[in-house]
Amino acid sequence: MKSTHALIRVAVLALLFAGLPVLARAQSPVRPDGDGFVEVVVPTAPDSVSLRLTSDQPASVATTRSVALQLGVNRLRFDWSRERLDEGSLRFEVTPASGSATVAAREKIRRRGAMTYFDVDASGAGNATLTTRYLLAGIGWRVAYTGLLDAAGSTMTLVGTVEVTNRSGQDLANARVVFDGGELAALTLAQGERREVELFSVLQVPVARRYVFDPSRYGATPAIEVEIENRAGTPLSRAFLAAGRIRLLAPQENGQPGLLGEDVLPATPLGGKAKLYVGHARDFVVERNVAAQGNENEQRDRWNKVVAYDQRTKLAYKIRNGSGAAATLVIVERPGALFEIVGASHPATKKTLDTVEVEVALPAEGVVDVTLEWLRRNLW
Amino acid sequence: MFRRVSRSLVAQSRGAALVALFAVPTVPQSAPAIPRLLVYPGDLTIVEEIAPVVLSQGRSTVRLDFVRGNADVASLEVVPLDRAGEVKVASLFRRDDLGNTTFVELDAAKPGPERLRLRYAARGLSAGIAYTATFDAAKWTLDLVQELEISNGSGESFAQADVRAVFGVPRTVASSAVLHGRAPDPAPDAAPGLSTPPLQQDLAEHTVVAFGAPLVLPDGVTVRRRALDRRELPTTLEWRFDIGAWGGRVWRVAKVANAANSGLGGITLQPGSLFLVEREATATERFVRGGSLGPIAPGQELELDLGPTNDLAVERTVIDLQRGDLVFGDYNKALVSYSETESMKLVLESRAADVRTLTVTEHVATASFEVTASSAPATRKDQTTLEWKVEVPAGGKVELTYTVKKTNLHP
Repeated sequence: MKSTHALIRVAVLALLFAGLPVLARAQSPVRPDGDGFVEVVVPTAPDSVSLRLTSDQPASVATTRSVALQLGVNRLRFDWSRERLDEGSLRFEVTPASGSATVAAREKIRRRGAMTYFDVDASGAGNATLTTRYLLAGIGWRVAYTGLLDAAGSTMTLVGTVEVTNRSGQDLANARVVFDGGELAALTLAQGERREVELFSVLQVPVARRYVFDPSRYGATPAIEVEIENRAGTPLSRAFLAAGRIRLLAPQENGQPGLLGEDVLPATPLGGKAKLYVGHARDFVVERNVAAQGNENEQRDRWNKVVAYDQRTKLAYKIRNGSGAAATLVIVERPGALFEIVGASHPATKKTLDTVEVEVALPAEGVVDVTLEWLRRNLW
Repeated sequence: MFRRVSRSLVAQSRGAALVALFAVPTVPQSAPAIPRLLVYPGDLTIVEEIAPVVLSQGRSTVRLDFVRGNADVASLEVVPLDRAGEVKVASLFRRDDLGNTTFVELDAAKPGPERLRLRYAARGLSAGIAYTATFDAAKWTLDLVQELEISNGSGESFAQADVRAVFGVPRTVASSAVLHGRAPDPAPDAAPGLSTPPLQQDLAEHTVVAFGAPLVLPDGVTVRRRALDRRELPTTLEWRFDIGAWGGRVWRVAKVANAANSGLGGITLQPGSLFLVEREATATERFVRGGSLGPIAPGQELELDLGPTNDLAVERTVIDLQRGDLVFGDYNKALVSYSETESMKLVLESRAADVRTLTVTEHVATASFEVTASSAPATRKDQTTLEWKVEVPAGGKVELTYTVKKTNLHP
């Protein structure tokens, strides 16, 4: 007797589970009494989903669903109670397989919470494709790059990855995800999940290295700036590189890659350059001294108070190149506005209103003395 | 708000015969008595209802019960519609102990049916306009959809209502009893369907947008309908640069004509919220920004900022700044005034496949200046603003340099 009951229970449970997928699809149209429309409960799971992600806005989502419309006014009921969607952004299109259909109105009933109703006036019964578009909060994404330099440091292998986090309340199944600089054809990501996917891997990306002594930016040791170019006709030729963290690696003595450092790769469109700073050139030693600084041409008022003056500054550098290779070091100084270059031992260029650069060629294992003098006029 | 016109019989009181006139089983006229709602900004709605009655000869009294608290009783206006010469409203009568209940005393020369138009102000209904603009980057066209949204939070449910939204701030005076006369009359015919062309303001105080076919508007419901739908409007694009806008990036501006024979067709666009998206080459739609739109007058171009673009880039550098012309006072030798000479360099770089004209706007911190050198002709737009229009070749670079001398500056 007990075994018979158990069998019946198992059979009932099996029937229930077999029926679940059917329930998840669209329900049969229900005609409520007297209101003159057919209510169609729209399936919760869409047939297709695409997301457009940007860096500063919620995800722009487009979903399509197939439903059976009846002749006349069909009231389509959507339940977005789980999703973090912006109801003001909801847009709706209907494309019937035959005939025509217009979206007459949409309605929100306060006491029914997150339910939204769209009235579709169909010229005939038949299947139709519904496209809904809306903004969805809670989808996060970020890109990250890894650059593996070759032994000479002149090229790198650049790998780009994207990580998508779903805290939107909506489960994504085979979603097409388009973002600035890339696309994922079919991403499956349930609420509360995150997934990292490789986007591209480019070999032989040319790398330019620049040694910069800029005390106000990098401190007392010369820094190494690495520059890569995203240009058509080169190995790295992508429509857009989104901003993201980049980790630079280089082979060590044992041949294994070691970490050089990290920086943020700025958003780089095609045709743009990205400058990275990951560490310092310890082979260079720079002694920087203020050789002279003083005021001149002072203007004084009736009470002998200085009301305007000029300021002359002279800097002296002693630079040692401890490496076995010749190199060029760029010295960057920021005298402040209102300056002019008075003298320099090496080619000096005024770059901006408050920046001057001096380019110094350093022989291998050599020492070079550099001087730079500027005058700031009419200070007070 | 009125729970319609009361159908309860009013008892005889102190010898005066108060006749309940709404128990009449049939309505003589065929016109449907659908309430008309004229929704103004600022929580003001003019409700207009038609009530059929049958009057006896001489004085009759109709009792109107306000069953909700959100109607402005003082604004009630009652007008006989069918027999204007024979039926007159003698008075509107209220008693303190009956609250908002209003008695309408009517004098009829002959007995018979009559329709009364009741018009009053109410609160709790609101209307809003929402625009969705979709710019197609491949075709350079704009789709513009205007939707009208009505929210009913009045506590009153309308089984059928002809709803119109009024745009433009109505001038009201302290006493709401004089509200009538300012409200535009709804058209006597039924509200047109969805494809109604939007009305022009035509120098009137307001623009009225009809909501379309009569509406079921229960309490607590928000309904949105499409009031305007224009597809594939030809669009011209402009590229602009201003260091203070869009984070110093070049941005695009889409312009759509609004003349009688082109673009939008010379219409009035009421102010409303904006949802701007761009249809991309990947067949996706990218949300550009929200914000607001309008009002746009007939003949006025519709102008939309489409946000920054990567096709053009500008690198702006202040390359020099010098002070000179120091003037000291004769008596105290203090610094009185000086001048500054500032030089700028803007490198305009194009990654686009065609020639583009970039409008560069620069702001000078003083009104007292002159352009002493410029690589391209500058236009002084106002006291402190300079503008250049520079053609940037496809995939090329152009350098724009200029120097301004700011004079008569004071420390």
